[in-house]
Amino acid sequence: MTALSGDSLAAALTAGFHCLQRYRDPLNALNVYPVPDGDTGTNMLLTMRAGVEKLSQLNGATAGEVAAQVADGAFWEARGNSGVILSQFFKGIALGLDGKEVCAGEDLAQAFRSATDAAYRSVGNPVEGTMLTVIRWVAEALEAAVEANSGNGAGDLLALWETGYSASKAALEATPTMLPKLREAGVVDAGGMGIVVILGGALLHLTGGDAATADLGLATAAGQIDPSQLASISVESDFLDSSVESEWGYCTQFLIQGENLDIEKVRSDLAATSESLVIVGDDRFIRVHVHMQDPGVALTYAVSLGELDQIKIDNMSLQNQDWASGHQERGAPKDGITLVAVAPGEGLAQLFRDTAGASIVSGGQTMNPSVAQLINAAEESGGQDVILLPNNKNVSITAVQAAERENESQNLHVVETSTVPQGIAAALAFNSQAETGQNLQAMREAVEAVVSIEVTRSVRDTVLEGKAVNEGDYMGLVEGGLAVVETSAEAALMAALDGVGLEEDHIVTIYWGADTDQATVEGVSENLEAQIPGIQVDLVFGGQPHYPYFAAVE
Amino acid sequence: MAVRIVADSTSDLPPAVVEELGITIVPANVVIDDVNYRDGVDLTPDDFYSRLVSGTALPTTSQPSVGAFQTAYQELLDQGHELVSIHVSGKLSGTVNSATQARASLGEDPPIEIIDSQAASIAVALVAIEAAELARQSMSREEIAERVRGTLSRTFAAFAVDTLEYLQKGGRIGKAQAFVGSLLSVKPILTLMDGEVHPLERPRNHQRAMRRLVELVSEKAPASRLGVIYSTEQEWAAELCDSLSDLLPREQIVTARFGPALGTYVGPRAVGVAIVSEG
Repeated sequence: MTALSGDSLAAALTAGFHCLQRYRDPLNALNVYPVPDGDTGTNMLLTMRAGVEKLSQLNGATAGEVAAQVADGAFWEARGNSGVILSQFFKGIALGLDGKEVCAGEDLAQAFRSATDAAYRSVGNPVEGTMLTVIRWVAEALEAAVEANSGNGAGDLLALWETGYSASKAALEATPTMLPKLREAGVVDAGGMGIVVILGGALLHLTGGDAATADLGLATAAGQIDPSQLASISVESDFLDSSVESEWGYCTQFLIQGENLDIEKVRSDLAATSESLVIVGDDRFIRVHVHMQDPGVALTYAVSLGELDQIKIDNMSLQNQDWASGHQERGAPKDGITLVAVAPGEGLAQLFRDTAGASIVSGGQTMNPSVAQLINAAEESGGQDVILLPNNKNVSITAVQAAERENESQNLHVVETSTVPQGIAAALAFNSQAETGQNLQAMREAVEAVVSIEVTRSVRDTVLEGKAVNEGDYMGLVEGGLAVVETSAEAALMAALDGVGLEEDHIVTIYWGADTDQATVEGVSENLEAQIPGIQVDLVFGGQPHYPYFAAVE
Repeated sequence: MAVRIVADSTSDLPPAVVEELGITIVPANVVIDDVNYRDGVDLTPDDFYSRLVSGTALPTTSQPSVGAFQTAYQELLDQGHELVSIHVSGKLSGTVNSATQARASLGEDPPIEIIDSQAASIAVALVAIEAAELARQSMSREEIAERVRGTLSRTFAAFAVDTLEYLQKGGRIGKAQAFVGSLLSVKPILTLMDGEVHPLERPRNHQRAMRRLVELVSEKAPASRLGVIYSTEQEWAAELCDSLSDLLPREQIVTARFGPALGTYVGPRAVGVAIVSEG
């Protein structure tokens, strides 16, 4: 074979996707940070799925068209660092194959070169030992092979693909030698493995194998992670449901107004027959978002509880068909300046809404929202100028990608908040009556003025930044770096605060999580006030998962 | 024949300054529980704030009557004076209307210059003080009016409130609505723009609000005049004066108290600053 037709390229990429699906859990488990954020596999999978889905509608397309469709789909669903880099990778591939009827050897090499450039450009500060390295090594190997072959016509495409795949494996094995964090944890890079898996799955398909049952023989963790731990690291199940099954039936949303509503009962009743159930509210109002094959069932049930309002039903399979163009067409007149905040808990969402009238995208460390979700929320917020607050390092890159998209109806800006406390400080500095430039400046200054603390539980034994961490230990992170390791969440919080060096004119705001109880946090507050007379301690319910405490010192 | 300055009680000019500079104050009307009081005449600030905090219905303030202006103007004209009459923004109050009608009732073109300050409270006070000092230097009515209009464009005032509750209850929240409803404790800083309350910032506590007020004014330095104002906490005003003494000698900084007109909306424990920047 000397070239891939559009259809074979599509089939190869789809096989790569199926292989990625098979390897999702091991990829998630490879995430080296011991905080519960095993989501690299999920992020890459969701990003690529959106691209591959567009292929089912193509038949007899050129290689260039196939690549362009994958890139377009992946752009919208890109989430997390690995997903954004992957979407840029596909964009580069598409650029390299632009206008090509088929993909010959030199086209493949050129596509990977262009993909390498795009991937490196997508991150502010490229780091070697990551998926970037893997992509680059593949490009270099392909270029060398094409060069060596230049006298003998185009050469065999299968052999070339194999060369690329081998290079990707070699690069993957080298990642721990380049990145100390990987070496400490004794793993290879998860995103890099994702690239290997996609290439491997495609190769398997091209040689007549079945990618969906592939065993690529990859050492997932250099033998240093106990495979039994893999199951303990999981992504929010709610979030996966809502993402993975999103084209299932009808998206049904409504508000129930009644008296003495039992939200837990509504939740369990609806959960039995639906997917992606999201319910918020109290005993008088319950807002329901649910995916059902028959929306009538949910409405009949709900009307038995009280009055229904704000009913909205969308057919998701129709909706999905031309999703991207739908985004571009929706253009209600925009006015003023609005805020979109990513919030990992109901309390925090409420706080962002109350403080700055923000539109909320739920998500955070373990639930990275996609570019499309951010752009959607920006649309719905109705502002001519929209400021995005990602409030997490892993979401920041997605927000930047969303803002860089050309958009005629809105100007998107990002204040790159990497923690929730930074986000709240920025939201407090937001003034819908002031100009955008003034707002951006004031918000960035506010972010600078706050020290962020996050307390979370380690999901594995590891060594991090020179500190031994046992599974179940509580880690206190100051400005994103591991500062203290303790056996209780409160001890970790106090030790982290102590390390910041509290003074009497400081304000400490503690956002307590979903699994923390109020009495405990009040105890912490009393302790602090006793230790440092004159200090102001404010307690706010955040409701975030996995993090018993976020705290801001300013 | 000299020029005399007339202001209304909503300028919150301190009584000692009024006396020293010979400014004439026309009182606004304050209605509390259906009883009408003349602001500053038969209602003291302490009375006012204790009734504001304890009362159920908010007090209402209305402009001085045409008659009150007529009386004040007539008396001064009879003494042979010309007048410059400086008042709260026409967008906030009908005071300028009352004054204009009174002037019209006093014959063909009486020597009275009426100025809409487009400001309120301490900012108006600073401008009225300048006018009175110019009058003492025997400047003409027209010259004073022209100078005052220039000064107004260099005036800035901001105030920090303990709560937005009173502005909201009084229906004067305006664009500061954007600052309502935070679950976090904040001391909002506001300013008046085009006769409406505008939000500026949300410092997290009183100390920071005080610091920011000083910084906001310092950004407009050099100062030709400075004022501080409070509703119930005199020592906070004194603290602000100390902090501002780098910009002007402390004894030149005017300390005033929010009267009922603004006090109804800013509520207890509010403080403010005002500056006239050098021209």
